[in-house]
Amino acid sequence: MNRKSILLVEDNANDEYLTLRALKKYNVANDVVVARDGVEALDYLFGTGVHAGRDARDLPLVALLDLKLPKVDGLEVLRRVRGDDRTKLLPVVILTSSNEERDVINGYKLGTNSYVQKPVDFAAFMDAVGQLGLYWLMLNQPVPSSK
Amino acid sequence: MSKTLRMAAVAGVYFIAGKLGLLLANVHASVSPVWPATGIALAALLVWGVELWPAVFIGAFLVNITATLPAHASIFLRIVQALGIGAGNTVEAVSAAWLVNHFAGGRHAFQKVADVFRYTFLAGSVSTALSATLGTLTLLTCRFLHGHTFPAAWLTWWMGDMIGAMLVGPLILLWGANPSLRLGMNRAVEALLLLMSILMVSAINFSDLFPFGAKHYPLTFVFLPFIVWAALRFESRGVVAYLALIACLAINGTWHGYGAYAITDQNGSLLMLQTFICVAAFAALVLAAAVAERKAAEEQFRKLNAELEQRVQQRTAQLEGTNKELEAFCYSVSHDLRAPLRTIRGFSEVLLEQYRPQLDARGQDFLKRTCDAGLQMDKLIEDLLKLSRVSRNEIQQTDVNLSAIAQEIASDLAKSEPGRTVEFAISPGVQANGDERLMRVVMDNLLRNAWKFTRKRPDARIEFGRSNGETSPFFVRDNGIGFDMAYAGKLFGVFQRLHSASEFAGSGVGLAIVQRVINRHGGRVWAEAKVNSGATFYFTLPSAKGSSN
Repeated sequence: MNRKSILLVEDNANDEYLTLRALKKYNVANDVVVARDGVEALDYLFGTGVHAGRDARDLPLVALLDLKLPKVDGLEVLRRVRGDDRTKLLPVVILTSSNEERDVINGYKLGTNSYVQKPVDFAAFMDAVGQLGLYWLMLNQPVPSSK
Repeated sequence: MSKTLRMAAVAGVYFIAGKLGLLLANVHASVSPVWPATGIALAALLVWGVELWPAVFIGAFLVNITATLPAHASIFLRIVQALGIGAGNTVEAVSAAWLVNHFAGGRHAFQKVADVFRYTFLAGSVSTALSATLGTLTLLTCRFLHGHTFPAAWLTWWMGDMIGAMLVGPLILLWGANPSLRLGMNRAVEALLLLMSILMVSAINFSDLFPFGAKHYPLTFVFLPFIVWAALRFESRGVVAYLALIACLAINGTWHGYGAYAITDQNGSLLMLQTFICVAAFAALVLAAAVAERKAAEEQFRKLNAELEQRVQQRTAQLEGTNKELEAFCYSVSHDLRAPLRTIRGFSEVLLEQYRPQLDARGQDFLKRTCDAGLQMDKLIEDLLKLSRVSRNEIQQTDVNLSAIAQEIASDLAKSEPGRTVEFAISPGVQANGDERLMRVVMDNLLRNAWKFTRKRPDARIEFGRSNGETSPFFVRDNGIGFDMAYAGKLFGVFQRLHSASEFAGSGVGLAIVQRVINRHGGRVWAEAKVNSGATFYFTLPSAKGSSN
């Protein structure tokens, strides 16, 4: 049941494609689950809504979270994730276009593990996403499962 | 009140006041040194309009037709003198009302110092002289008055009317406009204290309660401080009331032989007293008007201040709104404008990578250009955001060591291109008062520019310092390629560039940022340059603001 997966929360199909491409290039596209808005992301994590019945104990290794999302925005997703005992230890990386100071500060205040601005330069983008995948999936020691 | 009724009332009051005044007639039965009717008539015409003049005429006619006259007076002469004197009194009231309305602020004559002066001259002196002249000439014509008493009679008439105009007129006008007697506890006590003081001084001067009145000691000046007190604290309305009280007590006392003025016959004594009262009334009215003027000015000032305060608040709110909008706009730019750019750039690259074999050299070049443009646009967006951040963040003023900052930037630049030899001449210990972060941005942009535009010179030299002591502008000077001063106006505009991008890189936002920062500090920035002989950028910062530290 402990599948190594990435939850990619991304509403932009182009960015989704480019991200997946980068992960694939670095061979870390194990099992990427894509949520296209904040509600879907929360549903996935808590096994509700469209993901009703999913085992909520089966957490991804990392969530790559965009900030500007339809319905529930990224910071709100983060707040709920950190507010719930089941998900509060989940590694979350904010991966977004903005480098606005308040986004960065609020992200860390709400307990993100990392904040990465998506580079516009393609090579840099590939590099950034690939490294993120490698780091969180290969290098980082995950939280031990509760069971 | 209907017009007829009002006329009857004014005529009636005039008649009674006239009869009371004549009780004090002494030099001649028709000539009184105290003539309150003048003030009553003037006040009535000022408040209700000059067209009320028949009431004055009727009142005056009735007073004089029933006056005590010499035994030889026939009915005809009696009517003639009553008509003549009545005409004089009417001319007096009408001319006074007309003059005061036109030149002295009408019934509001006591609000302004200049109006009090005009009122005193026009209503107090000129109009009353008309009445005195017409009246005494009528008596002379009817042979009710001997030639040798004419001057005394004229003077008495004039003075008697004057006190009516100077004391009774203001009393009626001021109390008619505002009859309220409401005072706070403290003010009431003060008013009472003043009243007792005035009664006391009146007793000292004009009664036999103390030994001074009977001995005619000249003590009337003791009234002055109390009149000043009344004028300053109780304004025109208060001071005329107190003066009226003083006048009553003084006239009564003088009539009975007490006080400084009771040293000749009753008429002469009263005339001297009238001089005192008229002068006192004039001074008191002027003083009270000055106080009223000051109060009005203060009120005006307070109102303007409040208005200004309100306007400032409105503007601040507008400004805050604009700032919020700008913030939202920038936030949106930061997030939303970049995503499509990344798509353009990303997919072009993917295309280049994956489909390179299918594209000829031209096709590859086109795609390359697309990629470069995407990157360039990203840079522009980033710079624009920087510019807007400079405007959005609050300025926190501290003492900033510009020399140290310049030194750091210089060594960074030197490290970034180790191949170049550039001589930096940075004056030590140059201090400024400003926001450290923003001043760093300014220094960074200016020094980086200097670094950039000296690239082609083997003997590159960059200076930083203050041209001429503590108050002179700061400057950053280089011996680079400079620019034509004809384009100096464009220098600080956003996206304005004086050199081609292929020659010198840059988005053209740097100097706009510099200007924005300096302007926000209340300073000024400008440049001097010559093509191929370097450029100097000057900037000023206003000296430390007291409140910021």
